[in-house]
Amino acid sequence: MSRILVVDDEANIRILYAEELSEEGYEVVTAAGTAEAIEKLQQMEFDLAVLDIKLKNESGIDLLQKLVKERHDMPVVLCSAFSCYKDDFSAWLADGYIVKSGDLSELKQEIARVLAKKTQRARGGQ
Amino acid sequence: MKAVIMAGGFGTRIQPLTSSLPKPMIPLFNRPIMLHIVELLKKHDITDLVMLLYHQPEVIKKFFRDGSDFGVKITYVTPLQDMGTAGAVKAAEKYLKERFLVISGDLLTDFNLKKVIDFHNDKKAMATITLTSVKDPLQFGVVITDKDKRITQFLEKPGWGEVISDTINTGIYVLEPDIFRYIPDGENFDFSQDLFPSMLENKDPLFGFPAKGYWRDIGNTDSYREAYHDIFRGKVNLKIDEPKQDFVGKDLRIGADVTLEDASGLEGTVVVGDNTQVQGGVHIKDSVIGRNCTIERGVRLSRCVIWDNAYVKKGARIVDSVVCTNVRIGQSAHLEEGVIVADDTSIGDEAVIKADVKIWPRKLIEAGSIVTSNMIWGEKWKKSLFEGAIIKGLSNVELTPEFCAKLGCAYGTTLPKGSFVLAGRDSNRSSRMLKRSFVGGILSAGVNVRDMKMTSLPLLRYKLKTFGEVGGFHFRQGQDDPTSMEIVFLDGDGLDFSSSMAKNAERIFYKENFRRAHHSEPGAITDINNVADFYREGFLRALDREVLKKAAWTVVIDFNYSPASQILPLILNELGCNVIALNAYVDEGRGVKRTMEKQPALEQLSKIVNSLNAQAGFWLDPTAEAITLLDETGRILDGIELLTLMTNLTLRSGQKGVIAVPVQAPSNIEQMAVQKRCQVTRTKSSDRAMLEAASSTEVILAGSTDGRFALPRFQAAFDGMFAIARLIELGASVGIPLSRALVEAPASAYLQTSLPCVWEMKGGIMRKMSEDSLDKEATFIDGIKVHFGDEWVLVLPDQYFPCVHIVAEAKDQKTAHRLLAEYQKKVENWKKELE
Repeated sequence: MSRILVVDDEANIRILYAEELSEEGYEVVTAAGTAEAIEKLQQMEFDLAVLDIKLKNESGIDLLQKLVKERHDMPVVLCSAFSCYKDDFSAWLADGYIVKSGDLSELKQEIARVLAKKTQRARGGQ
Repeated sequence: MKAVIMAGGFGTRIQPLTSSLPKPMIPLFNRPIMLHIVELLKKHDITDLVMLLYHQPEVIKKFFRDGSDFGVKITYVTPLQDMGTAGAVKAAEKYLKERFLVISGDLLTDFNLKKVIDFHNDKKAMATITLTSVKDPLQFGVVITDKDKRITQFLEKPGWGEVISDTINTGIYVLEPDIFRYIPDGENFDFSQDLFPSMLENKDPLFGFPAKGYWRDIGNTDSYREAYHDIFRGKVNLKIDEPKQDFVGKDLRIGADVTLEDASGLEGTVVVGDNTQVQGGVHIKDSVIGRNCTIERGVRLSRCVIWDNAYVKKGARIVDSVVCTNVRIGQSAHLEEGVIVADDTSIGDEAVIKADVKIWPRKLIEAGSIVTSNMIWGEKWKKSLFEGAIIKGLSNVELTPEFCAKLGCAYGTTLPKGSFVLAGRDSNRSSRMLKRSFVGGILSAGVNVRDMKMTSLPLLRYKLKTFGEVGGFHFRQGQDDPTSMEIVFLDGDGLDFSSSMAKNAERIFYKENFRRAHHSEPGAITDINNVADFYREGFLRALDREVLKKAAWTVVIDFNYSPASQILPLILNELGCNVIALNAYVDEGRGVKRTMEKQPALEQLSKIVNSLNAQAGFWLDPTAEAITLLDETGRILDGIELLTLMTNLTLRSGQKGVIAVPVQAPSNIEQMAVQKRCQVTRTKSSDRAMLEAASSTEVILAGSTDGRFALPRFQAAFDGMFAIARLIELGASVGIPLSRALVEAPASAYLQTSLPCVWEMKGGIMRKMSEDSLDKEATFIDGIKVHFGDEWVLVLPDQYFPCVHIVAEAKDQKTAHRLLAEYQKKVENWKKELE
């Protein structure tokens, strides 16, 4: 079972994502901000992180930079209410980008795609 | 009475039928068109002929000679320059002292010429123009007459709005010698544009005779085919040399020495020229076959024109097409309607030539090809578009803007509507021109394009690793041939196109099964400018800056005028390197002859490395994927030495993981890896196979034998820029000169050669090699590699060229030479056995 870290400052989003992704068979751990996310990352291993870009006074992009540097084998899917960050090259470090929507099917598809790619990479690209 | 036959035209509009013949000599039912005109004149008792020649006069003279073989007397006049129609007749003035008739040599008509002459006499005309009515008068000169048939108005090639009559000038005139006073000497002068309007202005007796009967100007290939259709339908009577056979219900005309195995499959009018062989089981309807042809079993011809010396292999299907002289049509090949195949061309087995395609002379269409557009200049139409992930062709000859637009549309059709692709090109002007057309095609399929414009391929691949685009492509000047263009296709991960992706695009291209976006939904183009910054960030993150800054190497880099020169020097300077950059500017005019320029450039680089006491010199390939290394002594390392050095340094730096090398790489890679408890993965020799291996998280280095490296810590793609930085970092961290690092590596004698081998024989050679290796230790990753203890030989058929590679490695040169020679001889013998 793949374990996913969901980082979002909105409690309702965290609950929604956790419920929906759990139903998909993932183990979901949530964090409300950068500090909590780092704490969770120190406690356990994750297969993927779903990261909001605007986190109250913090920037999800900064956290993304940190994750890429320190946990480069863990893919990150950015999840934002804004599509404009797609053109920000700092965001290109992520493995996926989803514009937030009430319909979570795109998010689920992207998570599945990125995880499959990760597995493929680990197997040597075969 | 004399007649002037106008036979000087170039026949440009009817190409490629006129590629080796002047237009009047094009065969119509196995005789030159002009011979039918001569027969018509003879029929009306005009046997004293003046032939006006200009283009390829010798072909016409050789055929007609003095005319006695055809019952006429011929005088040839060949003006020295293009004088126009009336000007050319003026050149023959001394032979035209009495009333004469003028007629074109490339008409098909059965007009009663006597009636035209009688009309001229009755009217006491100075000039009579023969007129006829046509459905589409736009391409002709319209003539208006009054009730006495006196001409009142000319309209040269009118638009539909100007058409006031369907009566046109047929180019058949009866003229009095008086007209010569209107025609100036030595000037370009035309009958319909100059002479007749002058006569009209002067109120000279100029009449138009509306002739009854058949008339057709055989001006283009469609008209040529339609002339045959009209003859098949009996619209016009024509003299046919081949005698009529007595078959009820069939109109068979069979020449001398013809072998016709079975006439039951012949239908309608079928003409077979002398010495032609038609085998059984054929179905031939309304067709004309020339002399010395062979039509094999099961061939189906319908409304076809086949000139002399053609060979149509069994099962071929040809519909309403023209096959010129010395053409070979392969087994089960299919020529759709309206195809023209010019002289000396070979169509491969099972090839398909799509409707209305014209193939110019001396072409080779490979077996199984599908030809969808006119083939004019290139020599070859390939069976498949792709060579691996690349489409290659001569710029603006094979890869034309229109071809690229279609290709772009085919590529776009393979991708989801509304998705994004990444575009890039090198500095070459042709790359820019063709990329623009290609982008147009993509947009038409409803796919968006993010344009990186001029960039290096490694940057494009790097961006593709991120989200956003489902694929990418890069236009660049050919690596082996500066006149050619290469389009590199990449998937959404920046990897080379897989064969299934290539086949998908190819299938859509050939079937023209394009997805055309609705007018409101074509794709959009956006420029993407900050990829270089993104690349730079990742590049710096993947290196040990401290080590590099401390070592502060001086390196000389020849950038070969590539866009890499705009990025790498800045990054290396930031890492504390002193970079002496050569040819570090982008020059759109550069690029040609660069392969030939490499050796002198390397020698120059070597001198500079020596004189500046630099730690290394690099020659960066224009694609920025491959490098050539010069050590601190200025010695130029070959690809095998560079791979050995890179492996040795990587292992000495203490990095643990897997090293991926192709099957033909030397075995000292394994020897070095074992010492450091690392593993080696042998891959197939294709780029994609190597890069797929590099995608594994365990791989620390993937290296080819031609100076290309993928360093997955940064990106799992060949990147010459990062390879340079990594080599400097490794050299600095290990702390020994590069020359010493190479000496330390286990040495071996490594030799390779290539032998020419036709495609059809490659399989046979490998079967022989396989049989020969039965009792030996062999591996079959790519080709067949036979191991003799520490020594080995690899026989590897080339994927894209008609050759086989032989690689041998041994402990000493003598053994390697012996092994190479032994297998070279074996392959040569197998080739002889297979012939």
